[in-house]
Amino acid sequence: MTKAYLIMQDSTIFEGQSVGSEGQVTGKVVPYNGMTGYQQILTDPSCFGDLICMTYPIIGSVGTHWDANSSERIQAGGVILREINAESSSTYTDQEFDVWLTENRCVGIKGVDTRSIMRHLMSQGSMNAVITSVQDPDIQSLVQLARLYIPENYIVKVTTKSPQLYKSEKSGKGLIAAIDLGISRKEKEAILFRGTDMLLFPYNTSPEEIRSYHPNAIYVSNGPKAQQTDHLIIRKTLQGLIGSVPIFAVGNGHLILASAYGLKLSSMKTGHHGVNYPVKDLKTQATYITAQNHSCVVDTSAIQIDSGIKVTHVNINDGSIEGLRYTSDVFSVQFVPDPISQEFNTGYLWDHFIHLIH
Amino acid sequence: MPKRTDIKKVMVIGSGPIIIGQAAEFDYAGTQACRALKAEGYEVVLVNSNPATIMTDINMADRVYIEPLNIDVIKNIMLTEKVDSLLATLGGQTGLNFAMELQESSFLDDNHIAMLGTQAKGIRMGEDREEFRKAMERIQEPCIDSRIANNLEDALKYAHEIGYPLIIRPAFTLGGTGGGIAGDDDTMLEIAENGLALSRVHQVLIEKCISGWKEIEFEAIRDSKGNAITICSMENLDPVGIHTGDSIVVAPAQTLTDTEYQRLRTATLKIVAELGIEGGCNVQFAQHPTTEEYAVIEVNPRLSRSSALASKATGYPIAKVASKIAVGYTLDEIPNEVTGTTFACFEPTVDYIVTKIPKWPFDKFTKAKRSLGTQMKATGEVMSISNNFESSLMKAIRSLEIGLMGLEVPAIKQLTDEMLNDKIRKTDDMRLFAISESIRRGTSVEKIYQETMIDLFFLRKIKHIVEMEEQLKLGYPSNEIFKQAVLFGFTDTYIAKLTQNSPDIIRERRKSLGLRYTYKMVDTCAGEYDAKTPYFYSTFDTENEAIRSNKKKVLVLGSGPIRIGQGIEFDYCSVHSVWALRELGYEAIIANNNPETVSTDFDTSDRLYFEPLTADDVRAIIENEEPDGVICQFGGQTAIKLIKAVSDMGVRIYGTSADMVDAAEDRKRFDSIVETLKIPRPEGTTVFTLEEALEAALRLGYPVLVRPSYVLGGQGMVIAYSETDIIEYMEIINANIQEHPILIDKYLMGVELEVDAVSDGENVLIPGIMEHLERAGVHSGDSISIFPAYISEKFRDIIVDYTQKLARALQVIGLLNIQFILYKDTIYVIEVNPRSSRTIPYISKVTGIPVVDIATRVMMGAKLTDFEFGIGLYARYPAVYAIKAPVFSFEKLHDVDTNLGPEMKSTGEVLGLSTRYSEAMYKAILASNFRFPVKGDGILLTVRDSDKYDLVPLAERLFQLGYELYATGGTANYLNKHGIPTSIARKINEETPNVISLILSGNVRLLVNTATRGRQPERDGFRMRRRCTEHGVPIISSLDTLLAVTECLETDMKPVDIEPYEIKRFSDIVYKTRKNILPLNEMPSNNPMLKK
Repeated sequence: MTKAYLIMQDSTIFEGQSVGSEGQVTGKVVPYNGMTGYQQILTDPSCFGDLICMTYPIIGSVGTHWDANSSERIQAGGVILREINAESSSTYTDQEFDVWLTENRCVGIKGVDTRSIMRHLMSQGSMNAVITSVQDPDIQSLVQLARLYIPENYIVKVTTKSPQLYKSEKSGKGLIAAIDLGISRKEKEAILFRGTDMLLFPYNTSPEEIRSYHPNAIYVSNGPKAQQTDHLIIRKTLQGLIGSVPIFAVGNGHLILASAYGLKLSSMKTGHHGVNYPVKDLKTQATYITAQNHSCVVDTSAIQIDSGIKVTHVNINDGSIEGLRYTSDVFSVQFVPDPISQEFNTGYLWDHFIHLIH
Repeated sequence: MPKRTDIKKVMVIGSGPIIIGQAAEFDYAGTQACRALKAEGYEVVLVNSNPATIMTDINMADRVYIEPLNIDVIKNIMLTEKVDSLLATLGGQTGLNFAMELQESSFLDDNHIAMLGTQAKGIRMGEDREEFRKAMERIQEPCIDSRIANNLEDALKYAHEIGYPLIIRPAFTLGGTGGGIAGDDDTMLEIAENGLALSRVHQVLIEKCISGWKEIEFEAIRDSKGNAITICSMENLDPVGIHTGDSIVVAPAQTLTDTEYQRLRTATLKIVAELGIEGGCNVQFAQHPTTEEYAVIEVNPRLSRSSALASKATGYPIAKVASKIAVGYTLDEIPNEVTGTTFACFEPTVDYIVTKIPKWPFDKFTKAKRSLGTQMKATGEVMSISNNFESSLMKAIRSLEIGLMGLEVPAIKQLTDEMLNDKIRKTDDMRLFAISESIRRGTSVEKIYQETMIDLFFLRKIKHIVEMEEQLKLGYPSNEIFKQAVLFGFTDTYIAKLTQNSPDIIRERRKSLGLRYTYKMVDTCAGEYDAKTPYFYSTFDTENEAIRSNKKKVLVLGSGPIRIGQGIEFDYCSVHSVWALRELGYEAIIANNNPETVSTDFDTSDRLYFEPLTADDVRAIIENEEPDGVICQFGGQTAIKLIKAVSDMGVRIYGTSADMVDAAEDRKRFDSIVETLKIPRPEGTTVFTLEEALEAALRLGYPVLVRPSYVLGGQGMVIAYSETDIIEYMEIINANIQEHPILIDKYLMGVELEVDAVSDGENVLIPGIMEHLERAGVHSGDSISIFPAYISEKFRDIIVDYTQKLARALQVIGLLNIQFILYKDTIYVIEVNPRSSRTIPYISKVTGIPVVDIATRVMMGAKLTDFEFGIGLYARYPAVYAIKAPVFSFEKLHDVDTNLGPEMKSTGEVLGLSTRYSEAMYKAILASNFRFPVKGDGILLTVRDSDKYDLVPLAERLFQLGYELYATGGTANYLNKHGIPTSIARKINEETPNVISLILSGNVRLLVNTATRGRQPERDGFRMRRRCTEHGVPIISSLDTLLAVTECLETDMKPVDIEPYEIKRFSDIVYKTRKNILPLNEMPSNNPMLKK
């Protein structure tokens, strides 16, 4: 079995075995704490380029299935895991997990103490690393590589190349213009399920062009962290759209919308990456469990009391902002709400958004 | 929402004695609840009949009642104490049933008592099959096609409508009592008839059989505001068809896709919302293995065995959070005490694999039917944690203490292929090992999947272990294979055994390869937050999180799974020892593997190692912690049997030394000690072979007592009356390989007396002397135990003297338990156990002496004279009676003879407290769920010849009381000859009406049957006893017990008449009257001493 190494920017090294494609990849180490959903997270555009560290120790037990992807391909840069189960026992398997990784050219490492990696990140803060299956690697230069790593322009990689129209099966409730910062399948489904058609735009579409389609509302999707230039472009687009129609933004879209309203963002020590973050709706006082994947957050201190901007949701563990309301029809949340609403989940946010159209 | 201020005094109902289906998990839940409620400032009133529990400790609640769990008794206590609220969702099915009865009879409303937690409406929706089905229809969650039948005609009609195979379950019963799978009309009718009889509401559910589907459970918690989370998913390795309590369960679910997982999670949250759960709830699903189809099997709207498992598996304190929700808090307000920085409103995520394996009583009940089905048979369970499935399973197997370190079982290796396949199909307790053997013989996992429907995920993992076992047998493994074996959880000893090496060599090699035990923390959050509650499991990894502190520390070894003979009492002892150590300023570390207990609760000890209790695992903990010493005397046989290994590791043993423990167990050494001390003991000897046994018995003269040494709970102990008996018993005893000799003693039919004592090496403190109601021959754990013993002052002095001498001779530091026999004016010593015993919690509570606390302090250097309780016998003849009665689980175990003998059969115990003998006895018998016959009922008497003479006066008294007496031929003639009108009941195979039809017709409400001697299956008697058990007719198997029951009947007491004693009030009476020498009030007239 080919040896592989995980070399972190602070010179911490883990030795394991190669899984998926052999090769080398550099990226930010991001944990995923779900006990299921490994395929969904690796194909989630918001993970683009990241080295996903699975905290659950056995990954691959149900194989992979084309219908379980969050997007068309693996978006993550690499995968770090303890044990791979390459023999699925599920009927919903059309490809074993390891084969799927290889075919999608995803570089990975297994047989490492993933809990220790997690604890390391939590105590030292998030960091970059290199996964390599190159034998006898030059540690010094790889540490340097990790340290100097600057993410490429990720949004470009995940956004739609040209506007695309998605028709809802029960069309007729209006048209949503979605700005694609790396939209996931879950988001698309939530919108289409509610009977609205969706016109998906590349992230750098001008506000004028979007408006020319006369959408009933604007949706700003989740996606990977944007580079400064892109961030500015999207911010400008949003500023140009505010005031015309209802706007709803989630995840990374939520962060850029906040900055479009002049709010400050700050980096978190490690961020929120997983499936069990408790978020309280301050209006109803109900608390919901949400899935999240972000490393930045809207700075609480930046919100002026007289600005008219209201914090609608907070994380009950660390008090961070999870949702904002700017005007009666512009609002955003840090997490992707559940597509189908139930009284115990956050699907009501989609309902509310669609309701604003009418 | 803040906590409720409209309530001040909360009643908590416990779950009563340990029975199959309702074990220690409710002590854990109740203890957490009481502590949480007290911490919130509420006054807590607790009632529970089980004295072995921690929850009934004097300090756990403000007012503790160890009283029978009977509706009238509970009402009485509620009114006397003027409680304003009731918390019943933590006391198992027992607690819930009482709450429903109190609610339905409007007692709660009439007395303005609020029901806390999930309301009656929601409970009914969860419990009543029809309401449940309707609720599921409302929220469009699929159920299994089923109908409720109230009688046999309906049952048959519905069976034809749904189609076979079917599962039949009675409504409102514990652990699926009385259920079963039927493939045809005859079987269906038989199960349904039994089920209707057992159901409190006289209902059975006829249900489509979905055997072979995956059985998945979700544990959820919800608050009054509607916030709801799932704590944990669990997957039964054994598919639907085997009761979840009898299934190997893995957490989290291993074989579900994300879509399947999310679907079931959503369904769980929908269900708890519909039921309006305020607290914990367990939902069981069946997931079709290859399609999207799923169904909700059942819902438990209360804390359960599964919630205890989920709680220990994730670290999330479900019972505590549920209690806080019950008094009004919401999930977002309750802190997560494991992290200290987050809140209870989050879903735990685990980064390890948890395996639970049930502990079955079949090693005790060798003749019981071992097959598993819808009726639970396990008495306890073990849980293990690891970061791969193979080692999680291997650890769980080691924790079971069934003499196995892996998947290879010698007895199963000897089966033919056909027998093996049969065993796999029959789903008994050994199926896992049969599957392993089949894989070893080359059967493909796909074929086994077809046969068992056990998911390939599990079968392949089992195969990995089997392959590794075979690989290691080939001899010297390569470093790579060696490493893999270690990662798979093969211990040094097991690798040594397979590779035919010495464990020391393997250990050296392991260490030289850098494979060291590293401990990881259970933290609810997969390392995202720093955890505050050190709760560890072992791995072989890079980082060790269990960093040794520089405090003085002591390791306490726990007692493992609950089994017959080693119950919750040893957890009580371990926990109290830990508490005492913490008070003394030591860092108290506990090692245990039982998820149902208080000892494995996250905040009981300073550090918890959730590990198997074997020499290898304990050595690793000792190497990691380097404790100042180890305590082995509180964890029952599990801990004491490790004392030599631990001592050999060079670690200090606190308390009695390993050598002295051996002196008490080793026949020759012990004989020479008692001889020097001039203490009489029944003549006896040790043997290894059958020939030696026969020769010894002949020399001693029959009857003789035969038992293996180094056992607890009288495992394999029998009275032999003849050579045939000896031959039969030696075969049974030798079925398991014996490392230790077998003891043969002259059997003396006297009064059994028992003491527990604390010794500091010089003096002893004996809280009190207990007497067993049944004459010697019935195991002490199965006999009714009476405190104080009715014996003259002279014998009390002798017992104190002997205890003192034995404690000094054995240099006992800490606890010792001694069994004596008073036979023809002489006190004989039967056995000495230099460790805690089953009676410690009971004697501690009734005398008010914190026995374990004192013993622990003495072990750490204190002297008995440092305490206020003095030395010698503390309570000589206090003006009270505390009577302990055994509780059995025979209705769950088919083919087990209910007849009592020297081998222990009871699963739990209850206590009756009073200042009057008759009331204490009545309470004890009532609490043991004995159904007293009422005037006019029939009593069937059939006794052995030697008992006939003694039966006459008792039968006379029963006749005078107005009972109708039936007896079999010999007994009836004898009674009639002595002028007691008795109807003759025909034998089993004679025409009706015969004994069976009398039992079935309901004419007979009590069976008195003293079996013919020996255990030679006397089929008629056995069948008669089983019939009674299955139809809820109580059985008395000793005339001593019959006398006690007759006395109760004569007093004509009713539950409503009895006076509850708060436990502090009771121990105060003991304190004030402890120096009495003579009995003050009633005398127990049944004492054989009085008959002379």
